[in-house]
Amino acid sequence: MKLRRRETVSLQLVTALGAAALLFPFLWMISASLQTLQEVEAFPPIWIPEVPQWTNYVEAVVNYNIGHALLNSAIVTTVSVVGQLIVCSLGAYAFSRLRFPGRDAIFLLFLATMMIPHYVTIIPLYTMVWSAGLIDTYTALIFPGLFSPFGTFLLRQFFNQIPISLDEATLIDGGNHWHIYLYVIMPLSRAGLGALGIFSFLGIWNTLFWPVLVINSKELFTLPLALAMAQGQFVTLIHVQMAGSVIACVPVIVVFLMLQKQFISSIALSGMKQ
Amino acid sequence: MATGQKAQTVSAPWSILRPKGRRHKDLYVALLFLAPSLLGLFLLQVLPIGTALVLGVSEWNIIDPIKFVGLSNFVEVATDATFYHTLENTLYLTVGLEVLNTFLGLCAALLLKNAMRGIDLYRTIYFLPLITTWAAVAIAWRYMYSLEGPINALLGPLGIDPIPWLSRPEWAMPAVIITITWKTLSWKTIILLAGLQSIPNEFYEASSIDGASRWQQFWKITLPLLSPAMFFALIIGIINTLQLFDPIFIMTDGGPADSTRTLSYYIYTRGFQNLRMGYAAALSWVLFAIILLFTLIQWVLQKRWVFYQ
Repeated sequence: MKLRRRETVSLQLVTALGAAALLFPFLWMISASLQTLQEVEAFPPIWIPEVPQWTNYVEAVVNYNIGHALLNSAIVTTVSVVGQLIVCSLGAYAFSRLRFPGRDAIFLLFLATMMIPHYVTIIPLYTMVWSAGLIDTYTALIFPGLFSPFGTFLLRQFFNQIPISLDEATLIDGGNHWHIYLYVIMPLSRAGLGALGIFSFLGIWNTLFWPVLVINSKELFTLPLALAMAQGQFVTLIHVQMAGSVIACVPVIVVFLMLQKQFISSIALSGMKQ
Repeated sequence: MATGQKAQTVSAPWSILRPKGRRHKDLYVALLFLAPSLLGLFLLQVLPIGTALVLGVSEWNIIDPIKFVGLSNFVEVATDATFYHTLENTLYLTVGLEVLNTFLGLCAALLLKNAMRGIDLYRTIYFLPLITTWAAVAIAWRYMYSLEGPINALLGPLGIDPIPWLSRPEWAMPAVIITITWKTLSWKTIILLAGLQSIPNEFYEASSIDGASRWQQFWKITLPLLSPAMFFALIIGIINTLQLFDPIFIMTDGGPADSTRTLSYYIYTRGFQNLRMGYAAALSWVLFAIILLFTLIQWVLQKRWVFYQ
């Protein structure tokens, strides 16, 4: 469809207006994070701080536990994402490449569990963690992220697209299944691993529900939990809280900018939402 | 299995590499590859689901011994006035969100499909809310909704008196719906954009030669051909909304006066604020039944009224 010039201009204008509306909360967040307490509480609101208060960020990191929470989130997310990629890719390899009795039945079981909502399993999971004495540990934060039926399913779909003749070539050259997995399937599945990687990164980095349940002590707060808890404790310190919120958003935005294409095409393919 | 036959009859090396006992040999390799997944499936899915079944017919506050109570949890659900109230809230939230999200998501998709200057930047901006941390942005929205906050300050010049967004029961749900729309809009947009891009351009060219207007093209071509994507996004959107937690936890905690307490948040309230694990498990099975219903609706209806090319 060719558009007339006037239409192009008005389209551009509407798109820009929409973008401005969607950006507004972020802009307010950044502006508030650079204001003094007096400015942030003023009415009518001050849109641009007179002198940017960069010390708010220092205060958030040092005095309000955000620095420590950032470290915890980085540890938990890294271990979970790497672990999930390894566990899911190994499982997906078995479903895609190996023939063994009961394979399809087990795969169906994987698919069936994807239909059970999180809320059904999270209560028993909590009671299991509680009974095992794992409340307030890194183990409790990390182990639920190590496995994902969805991830296994997604990677199997990607593995199935790789021609089986490559496996056969490896076998003829004297290789075994471990070689096929490591030197054929994994290098050829970068797109699939990237897609699962960004889904699980965003999911685990942003998750609040599970840490709310299993973590009590400040030393183990992840970033979302630290932000949520700070809300109850320091109600008046909006500017410092907004500095914390900005800090929490930066890593996900950076990762998103790097893997944007894979993220969007994977949502369009699978309908998955973090 | 054409390749299997070919391998057996044509290439001799295969018959050596894949002897009769091959299925058996693969079993041990498969067990090695599958071991971590099977352990995860057992610990994170099978065992919890089994436990949830037991909890559903039990009374347990975590500290005292667990007590079997039969179906009394489900009888209590059926007569629980708060449960029905949370169902109404869930319906309100789901309908409001789907109407807003579908309309605005379609508008955004129609805008973003055009090749215009700076389109990559626009797309990135439109997708930003979706990926950012709920906890971080929900706190920002909470302050933006305050009586003397930026939203009321922007509405002031339009002649609208300050609105008590999160502090009045009649305003809290609309406020929550607006925030969740802002956050999840672009998920809808991505699905609909993919749907729009799969409509062949020839349909538009042919119809404009026949003298169809833009408006006619939208109603006769775009909308019917987009209906599978819209329907898919509708069902998955509903299933996701039914399980929302973060924005309600941060912005309202279910209040004021239970006006934003959805069924999923009610499960959290009963289980983890009142420590009634059995009752919460029973409620979670009710949620499962509702989600299953929508999944089945998708399976049955998508064949009937959605127009596939």
